[in-house]
Amino acid sequence: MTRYIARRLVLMVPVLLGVTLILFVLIRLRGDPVAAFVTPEMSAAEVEAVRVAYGFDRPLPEQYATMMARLLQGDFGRSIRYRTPAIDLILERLPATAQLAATALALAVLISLPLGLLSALYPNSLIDLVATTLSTLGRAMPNYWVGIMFILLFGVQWRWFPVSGRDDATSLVMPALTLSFGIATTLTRLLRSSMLEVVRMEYMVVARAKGLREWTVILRHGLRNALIPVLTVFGLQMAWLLGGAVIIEQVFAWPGMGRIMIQAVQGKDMAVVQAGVFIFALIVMFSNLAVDVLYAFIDPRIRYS
Amino acid sequence: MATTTVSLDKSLPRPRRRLPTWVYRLRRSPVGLIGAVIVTVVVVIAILAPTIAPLDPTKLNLGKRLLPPIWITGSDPTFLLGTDQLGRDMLSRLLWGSRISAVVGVAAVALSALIGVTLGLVSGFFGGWVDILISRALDSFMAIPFIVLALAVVSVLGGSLVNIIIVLGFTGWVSFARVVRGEVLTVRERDYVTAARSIGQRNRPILVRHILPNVIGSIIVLATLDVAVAIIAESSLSYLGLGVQPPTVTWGLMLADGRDHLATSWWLSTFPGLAISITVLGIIFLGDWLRDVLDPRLKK
Repeated sequence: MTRYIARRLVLMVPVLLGVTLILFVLIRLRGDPVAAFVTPEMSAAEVEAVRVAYGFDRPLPEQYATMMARLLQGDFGRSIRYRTPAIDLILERLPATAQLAATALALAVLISLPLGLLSALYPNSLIDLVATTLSTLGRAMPNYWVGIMFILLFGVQWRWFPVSGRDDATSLVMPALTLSFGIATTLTRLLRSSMLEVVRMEYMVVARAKGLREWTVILRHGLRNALIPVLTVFGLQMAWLLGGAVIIEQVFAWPGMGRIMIQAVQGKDMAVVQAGVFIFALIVMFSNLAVDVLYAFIDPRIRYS
Repeated sequence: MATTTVSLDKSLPRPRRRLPTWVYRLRRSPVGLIGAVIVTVVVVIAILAPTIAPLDPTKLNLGKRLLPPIWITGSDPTFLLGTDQLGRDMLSRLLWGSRISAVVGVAAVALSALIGVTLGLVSGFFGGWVDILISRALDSFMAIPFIVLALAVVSVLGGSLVNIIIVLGFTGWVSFARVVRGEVLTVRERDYVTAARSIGQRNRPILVRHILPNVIGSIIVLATLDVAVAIIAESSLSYLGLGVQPPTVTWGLMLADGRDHLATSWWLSTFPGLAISITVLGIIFLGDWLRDVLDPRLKK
């Protein structure tokens, strides 16, 4: 297992190189990269000074090498708005985003496990109807609009929860619920179809035949096998979850990485944008790794070497 | 060999001309039918918006600000679905907004498909270092959340209709490349490809005539479902103020307008979201049906 993780970590290097290359090309898409670092009031001499200071007067391969050397030291440059290192601005807000994403994930599992399981065990029942309707809606409704509708209902109409900011635990409820909606509906749909296949398997019949209690059969033999394909798709969805968090943070004024990135995009604060993209990519890669490691715990047939 | 003569009975009615097979299949699938109807209606609305919209969607009417829809007291019968914070007619804006969604959805996906299918074909067919290079690029793009990448590109290019299409096109190619590459890997080992090669066909005709037709089913399914993704992404970017800019009317921008009036005027934020959801629902239904018909293997 340790060797497997080590190998996966090594495999991340080319992907991270790719991400930095994307960033490198991105900054130069619009022609002169200096444009992203200067303000209109600056004189020509000042602009030249910035150009030299950032090394934009050097040949492109050398610029890329310099950028890589700086990134390895965690140096993404300074924010033109806050005048502090861009990476600090992003990392300061990492806990808020992590809290939101983790809570949403936990909520999604809490909602989708029973819903997906019961709808597969009792097809065409009321609970199945609820599950399939919800998962269809979850695919069709943009998650930020779900957030707006939640604000309208729980915030404006019934005044149950605060609708913006990050003050106490109650302010987490609405953004986390919104973010979990999309994931929960996806998970429910996947679990339902996967469980429907599993209940027809022979090992389920065997488990019943040897006299196990019904719930042991369903949970130990059914659910555990049904979770494997769910986890596969879910690993691919980590990027989607974080992308969703970016917009949800904006809807609920949640002070996380997504919100400062949007601010940076609006203010053309390129250093912060770059740092944000890089950190998001790192999180996605590490969560994919975590999902792959989780496999081994759910499915004992999978052994990494 | 014996000959048989068949005499035609002229009195029999001529057989009815058969409709294409997909029409029969669509009639058997209520979900597919609903999807097809919704998508057709949205496309027709998008094309006819200038004719069917009751009022000018950008005309300000400051005396008629924030009027509720017609079934609520205090409404004005001229404005069926009420007005926004500048007195513009909600219904007309909704109808016009469908145009941006349709254009962006189709154009962005066409661009994604063009890039992704080409790279996927090349990567899967030739293998070797080209494949390694394209696969690493795929991994890198997949590590960045779609909306984060789109934001980063917008930060450089700026938001406008054309830029949004470019952004979504260049960030959405990954799914096409991945699926096409995977399919090509199996198709290229088939006997008919070996046969084509053994009679001396070159790579390009083999790719275009033998491989592409065999992966086109999955491409069509993916493209349909990706239109839904693109429509949601465009509306998200517009909602964030980073997409298409006013005075162009889009559903995402309408939702952004409604943000400041949530407490008083729910219709501003409700109708555009409903329009997006219904459109996306139609596309998903149609896509799911297409998947069942064209490529049962893609079913999750």
